Amino acid sequence: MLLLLYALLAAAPIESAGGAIGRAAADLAARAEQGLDPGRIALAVLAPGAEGLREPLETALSGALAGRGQAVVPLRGPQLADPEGAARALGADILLRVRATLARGTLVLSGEVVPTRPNFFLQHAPGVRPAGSRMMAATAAADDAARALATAERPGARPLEFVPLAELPGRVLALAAGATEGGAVRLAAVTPTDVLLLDPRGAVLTFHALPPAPPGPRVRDAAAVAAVGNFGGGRIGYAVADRPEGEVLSAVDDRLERVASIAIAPAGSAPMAAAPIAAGGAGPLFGAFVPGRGVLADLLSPFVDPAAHPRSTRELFGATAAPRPGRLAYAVLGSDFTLQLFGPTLDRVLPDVPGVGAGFALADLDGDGEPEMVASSAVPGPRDHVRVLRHGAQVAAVFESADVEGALLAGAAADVTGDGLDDAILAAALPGGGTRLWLLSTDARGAGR
Amino acid sequence: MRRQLLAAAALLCLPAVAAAGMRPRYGGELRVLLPAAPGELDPACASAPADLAAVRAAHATLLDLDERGALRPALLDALPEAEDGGRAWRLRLAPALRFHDGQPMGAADVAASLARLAGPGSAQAWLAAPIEGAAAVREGRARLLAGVQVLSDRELRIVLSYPFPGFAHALAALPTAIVKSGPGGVLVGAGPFRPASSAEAGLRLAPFDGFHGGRPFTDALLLAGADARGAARALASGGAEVVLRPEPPAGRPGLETGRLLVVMALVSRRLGPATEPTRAVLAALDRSELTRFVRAPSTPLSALLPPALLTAASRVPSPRQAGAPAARLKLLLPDGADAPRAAAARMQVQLYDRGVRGALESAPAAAFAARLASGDFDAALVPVWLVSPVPALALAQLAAAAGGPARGARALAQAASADAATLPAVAARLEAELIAVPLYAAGLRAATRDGVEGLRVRGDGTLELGDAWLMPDRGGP
Repeated sequence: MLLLLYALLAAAPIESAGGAIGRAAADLAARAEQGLDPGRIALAVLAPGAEGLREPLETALSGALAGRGQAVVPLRGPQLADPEGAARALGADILLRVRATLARGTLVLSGEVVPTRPNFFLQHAPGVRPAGSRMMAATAAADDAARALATAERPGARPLEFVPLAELPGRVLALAAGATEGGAVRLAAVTPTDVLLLDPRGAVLTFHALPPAPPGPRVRDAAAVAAVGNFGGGRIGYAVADRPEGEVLSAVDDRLERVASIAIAPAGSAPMAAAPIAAGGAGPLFGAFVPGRGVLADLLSPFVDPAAHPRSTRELFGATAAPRPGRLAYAVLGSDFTLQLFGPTLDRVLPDVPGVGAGFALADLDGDGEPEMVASSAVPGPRDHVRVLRHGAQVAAVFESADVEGALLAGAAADVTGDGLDDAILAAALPGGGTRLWLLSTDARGAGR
Repeated sequence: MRRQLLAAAALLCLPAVAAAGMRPRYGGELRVLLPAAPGELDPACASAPADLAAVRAAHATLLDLDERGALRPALLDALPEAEDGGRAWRLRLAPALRFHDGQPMGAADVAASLARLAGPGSAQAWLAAPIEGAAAVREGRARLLAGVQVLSDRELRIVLSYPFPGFAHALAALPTAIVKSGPGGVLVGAGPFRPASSAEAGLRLAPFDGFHGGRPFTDALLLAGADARGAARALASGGAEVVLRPEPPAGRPGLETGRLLVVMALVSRRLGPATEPTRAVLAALDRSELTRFVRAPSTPLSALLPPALLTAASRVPSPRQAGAPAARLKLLLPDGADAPRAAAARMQVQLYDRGVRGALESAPAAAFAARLASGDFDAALVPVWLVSPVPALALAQLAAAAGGPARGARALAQAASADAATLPAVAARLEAELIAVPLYAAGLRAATRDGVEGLRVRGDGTLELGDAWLMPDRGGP
């Protein structure tokens, strides 16, 4: 079958004939290569849920980059588990990390150019963070070859499982997940006292104590936001409702270090869009807490914006981002328990979804290129459950978990199992205090052990 | 005392209802119907449940009781430290506290507020009685309490006349809420809600953004009075979010507030030789039968304190007295929604069966208190809403209700160092001194309409209205 497909591709040359794979690869290579001097590039290509695309894309991207004077070293097999480390080991100057998905007839390539060295002077200093990464995307209408390759090696759909992952002391106010500077996937959990860095199994690797709260009235409902993304020197950003400043933390070598502070509500000034409320494939999203309350203003911005004004008087519980680029990039939950869905440029792309609880996430759980909505219950009660909702002609629940103890009040998504598909992690506040983390995944084997 | 507190907490406190996947939302108006419209916002004077609910909404105490009945810092930065074996206490205020008028709250304000509580106009002066110099303030000989030393803007040291290990609990009792006099003598507090207006519809309050524990979730709070029928109708028609009343809410989920209403009968010495025989007759009444006529959740009492507060060896034998009881007995009751009318009516029947003709007589609250203090009654039914679940404080409050602030102060001095083993004897001695007959303890029920979340009962039986929030009206898939 594969031979037949490669024969098909050979009959329709990837780049010269303008096939979808070739066009998308050429476009992405051009964007990635902007501003780079000729050098050595490590190329890591993943095509979760569409494995058949991986090799042809790698070939097309290698060719396109080589044509621009770059020496390309493809990363394969175990190297893909820690691509940044592998790139450094190979002496590459740049790591180009590419994910490919086929969504609604469009081939989508998302890329991240990650410098593997800080700068010329610090290039041999161990443990120094590299400069910030740069993200780009390219799309092309899928042709027969791309469609055939994308479905050729798609693994059989495994059922979703919702399993306990770990227990944490204290209540988790905000949860985020994603790749940190080293490329490894980590979870960040904000509690009333600390930021916890967790491995994908939920084990605490280290913690960072929150600065003391300023004197004065506290917020009645403790609340926080957190995101893992590119926040200028660090990849974990967080903010807490009653603090005037948030922080950007670096997680190099699984140590949490403060990189910068974020002025969220400077004394005497109006709140500005500076709190990192979500980050994903379409980049970060910034917002602001309503002063004195544990909710966010209806203020969304792709960058820190002191001049941003709330779009309405609506109050928000939080926001989440799809880990990969796509048509649906962000979801924002209002205090009316209605989820609003946004594209990469913050345009409303789908109708609102009412009845969504505070534990929610966007995750492409089945690898079809379109993120599903993971939602806890908005019906009061001592127990909770999670649903996976898919937007079609109308919203349909494609999965519903059994009831779990406590209330699911925070959620995040990333590929924590390393199978190339997104997973969702939800935090349940337990009645006696403490938090139980839950994993929603098609590959939950070994979780919770 | 610790064991008693834990037992009380277990019985009195209900945990907040956890809501699946839901965080509290801000907005809306919370309309609360009480047994009567609140009329007294002075923490030093409030005694009826409607008034206590209003005081709890408008004022803040130095310490709080959490839902398990444990002490938590409130206006204080931390739990106070006892010195000198519980004879002195060091207090440190949280930073940046403010009154409703925006003025900062300092240690001097706390000292003035405690002196006000101890003063001659205070119905709850017994709570400040352990503090050195309280008697002088109560008798008008001093303006400030000699035992309260202001050490700095945020620090105080309170010296007591005797060691009182449970004094910190007094600082969590509602009458010790910190207030100051504003323009025109209007009381200014620092609670979660600030009074906005008072009208026929009830007392309207607005959320206080500067409340140390955080702004309440609702944008407005209305406290009004309603009878049983009106309250049930309002709850069913969406005219109220919360109803706090004695009778069971029809078909609605309800929270019990804890049975902290103690109803006792007092017998006056003016009956002469018939005093003790009359007390014996009252003590022999069937309390279980009495409570069947009380619409509130209730428990017959065999001692002055509710069972939740008096756990060990609490049963006190009924007095046996030779001689004849009074042939005719006027039972004095207070006017108002809390009057134990049903129990009194049933007592009449039971007394008749024992050869005593009882007649009911009611008096307005002020006149009732004055007649109790002067002994101008045959027998009286006295309802007392305890402001603290701590036994020593509860006994002192009962003594103050029966005999005035000075009697309450004496009772507190006697009970301050009592432990679980000695407390029943202390309670029995007080019962005999007051010529009192404990009858029953009762509570209230809080019923909510659908969509009201977060409401919880504190360890002192009051509702934490600042935590209540309202669901949006629309549903979901």
